[in-house]
Amino acid sequence: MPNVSAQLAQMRIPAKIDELRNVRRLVRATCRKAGCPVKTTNQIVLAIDEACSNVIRHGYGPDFTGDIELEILEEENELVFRLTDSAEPVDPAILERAPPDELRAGGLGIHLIRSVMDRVEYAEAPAGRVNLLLMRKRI
Amino acid sequence: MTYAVQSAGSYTVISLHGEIDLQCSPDTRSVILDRLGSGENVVVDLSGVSYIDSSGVASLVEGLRFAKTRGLRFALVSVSAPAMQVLELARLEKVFPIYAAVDDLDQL
Repeated sequence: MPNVSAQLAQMRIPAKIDELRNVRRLVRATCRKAGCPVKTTNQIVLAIDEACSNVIRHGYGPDFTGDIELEILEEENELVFRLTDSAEPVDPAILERAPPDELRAGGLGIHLIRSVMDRVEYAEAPAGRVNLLLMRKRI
Repeated sequence: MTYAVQSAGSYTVISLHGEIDLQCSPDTRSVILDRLGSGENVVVDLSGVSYIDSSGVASLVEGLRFAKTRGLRFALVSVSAPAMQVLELARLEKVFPIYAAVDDLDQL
């Protein structure tokens, strides 16, 4: 039987750092409404914030001329987060990098995303978009 | 994010409040490194931090590294639950000297 998928929330924001608080607000409200405990919600908020920060910092770069779209779906017992952008193509191997050393903070964002989510992968982006980051969290 | 700085014996206490994300982590980094650069032993009070991302954690890591190279003390105190959760996810909770309160630190 195919997964039944329900859209819980969707937002499109300019890829600017002052938009991150709006992302966190939406993700927090959506997770709580979906029944996530506070601790799990905090972790998911962090992971999505890190994913958006990576797009802003490393994807679009200093020009910041693009947007980010976030869609939150509920499938069976999972929350699914679909993050798309039109920035430079990301090498999916970035997800396989080893966690950073204790005192080297670079790469910490990816490590946090992987620690929080049950599955993280780059998938084929929809028409008109370049990257699609799929993150899944069991609830 | 807002911050306050005060002296406590041989330490300078930097109290951070609010959300530390990509937008304000440069300010966090500056205030920490400025004080360490002046030769002060720094304690960062995280009791008022409701959120911290990897860029904020990186500012703390940078402070710790800088302090070590200068032979200065750098510690975290009163770490809020949300901040501790992120330090644990980052596996850094044992890397930083962490105390319940400023009074728990030895005066130098």
